[in-house]
Amino acid sequence: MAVAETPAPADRDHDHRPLPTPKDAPVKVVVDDLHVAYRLWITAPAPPVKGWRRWRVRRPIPIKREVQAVRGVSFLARQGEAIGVIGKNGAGKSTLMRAIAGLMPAAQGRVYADGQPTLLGVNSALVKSLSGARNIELGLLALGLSPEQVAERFDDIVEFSGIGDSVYLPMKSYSSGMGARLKFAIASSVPREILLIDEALATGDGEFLKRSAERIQGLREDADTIFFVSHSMSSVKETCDRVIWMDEGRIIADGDPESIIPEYEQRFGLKTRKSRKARRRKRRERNLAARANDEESGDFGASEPGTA
Amino acid sequence: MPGSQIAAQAGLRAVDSRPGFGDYIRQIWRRRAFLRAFAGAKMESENSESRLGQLWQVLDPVFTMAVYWFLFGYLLGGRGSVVNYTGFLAVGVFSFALVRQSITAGSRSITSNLGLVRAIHFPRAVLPLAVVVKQLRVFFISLPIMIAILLVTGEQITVNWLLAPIALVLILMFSVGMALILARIVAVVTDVSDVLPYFLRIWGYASGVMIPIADRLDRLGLPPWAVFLIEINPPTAFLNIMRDSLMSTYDAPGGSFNWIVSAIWAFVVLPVGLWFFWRGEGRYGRG
Repeated sequence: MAVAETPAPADRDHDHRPLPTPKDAPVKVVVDDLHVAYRLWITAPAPPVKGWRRWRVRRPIPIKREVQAVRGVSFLARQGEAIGVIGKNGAGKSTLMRAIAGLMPAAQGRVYADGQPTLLGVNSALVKSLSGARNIELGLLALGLSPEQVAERFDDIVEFSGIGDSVYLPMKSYSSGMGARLKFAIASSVPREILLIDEALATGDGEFLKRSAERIQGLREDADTIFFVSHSMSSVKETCDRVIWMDEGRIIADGDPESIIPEYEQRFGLKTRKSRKARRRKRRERNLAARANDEESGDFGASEPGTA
Repeated sequence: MPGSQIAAQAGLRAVDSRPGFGDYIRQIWRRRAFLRAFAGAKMESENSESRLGQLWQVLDPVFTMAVYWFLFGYLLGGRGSVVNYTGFLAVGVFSFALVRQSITAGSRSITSNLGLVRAIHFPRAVLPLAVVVKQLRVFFISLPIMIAILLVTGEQITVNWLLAPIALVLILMFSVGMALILARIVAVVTDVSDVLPYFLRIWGYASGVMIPIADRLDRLGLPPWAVFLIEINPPTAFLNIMRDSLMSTYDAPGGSFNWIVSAIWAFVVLPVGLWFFWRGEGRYGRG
């Protein structure tokens, strides 16, 4: 199967973009007609019966099913590109990332890369029964660092993740946010040439998000090519100079974020609903603030204004 | 232009391509720190899951021994010509436990660590290897008990004890090879890991873990080829060389023939296991 030599040139509108990747930049990743399937066993529940028949053991027969997560994806990625991957949940984005990282075998087609792409995802479950500290050690060693390098980075990672002394508790006791922060801190502490960032910023509080965004910018400077999966259109716009929109395992648009993101938001009604909600929230906040002010100027000045 | 051609022009490599066999071995060697840490981590996590933790790993062969002693040594009269049956049983149960647990845990090493496999790139053979290293550590923890049983039941420490570490290395090489082979099989056909415990139990019976198998063979009147098969059965040979090294009251049938059989198994199964597992690299993690 052929791959378009430049990624959908019709979709790209270079006129008002200051930093398009030159078309002659070296190719770093080739995804060639990639299909990825998960093997699953599905058991359909048996229909209900009455009387003595209930006592008979009737095993539902498991059916082997292949779930096609990625169905025929082809594109090229060049040096210096930061590619945002967007789409609904279940569109195949994460599977595509795993396949590019060489972690999910392809059912058909192939992925070629310059060196080993690194996946940086919050879904990367480590060993939950172990402490965060042990997971830091294991994660870094698995990534190929030496024990000395692990010792060097350990404190930085704990500090960056901001989980403090919880690092010595087993990870199964962590909240999902804490776990995600630690995993992000581990994976992002090793600079890589080809970097796949999967929903890394989906969890965490505002302060952590800011720090992670800074770190991603830092990683971008070191990396040749970045893939960035996110549901946050604003962070895609900030980070990426190209967008791939996936739906049901296929690419439906590939090109300039300025033209694709508005279309994407319109399709799913994100733009309008979001702004309406935001407007409503703002109005509510204004009202609350005004009420609080009123109360503060009155006799209740000493009590907390928020609880009134 | 086809994608493969563009990739070739740009000097790219398929991400799921398998390294050469030599490279693969070198990659494993480079991850030895990870291997060690992973083995340690697995022990630690098992420790944290029950009150007695690790102790169960040591108690398991002790309880098994007690059951076999009662069943075979006392009720069924399986001692045969063995003078020190308790010592005979101790060496058999503790050594075979290493083989059995390495194979059982090794077979699940890919399927039970899919999260790790799907998150980070590393030579997958590290996982079955780490599992065997973990089992070896458990063996070392239980070793003092085995030695204590031997000494209490009247065995002497002789020069032959120096051969025991060599026997252990051979057993270990075999276990690693088997763990690798089964890890790949179970990664493809998960059901195999459900059948495995039964198979291993029968294998243990047939290998003379709890009864001197040679005494039985004479009485059963088996054809010579069947006797030969049982004699070259790897655990039979491994247990024989272990008992020969550690017990002065017992002479294993076959003598040095057992050492030859053991060495052949060790030096064949380990490379075959590595090669077989390596052939599947790049396809692990499909689930």
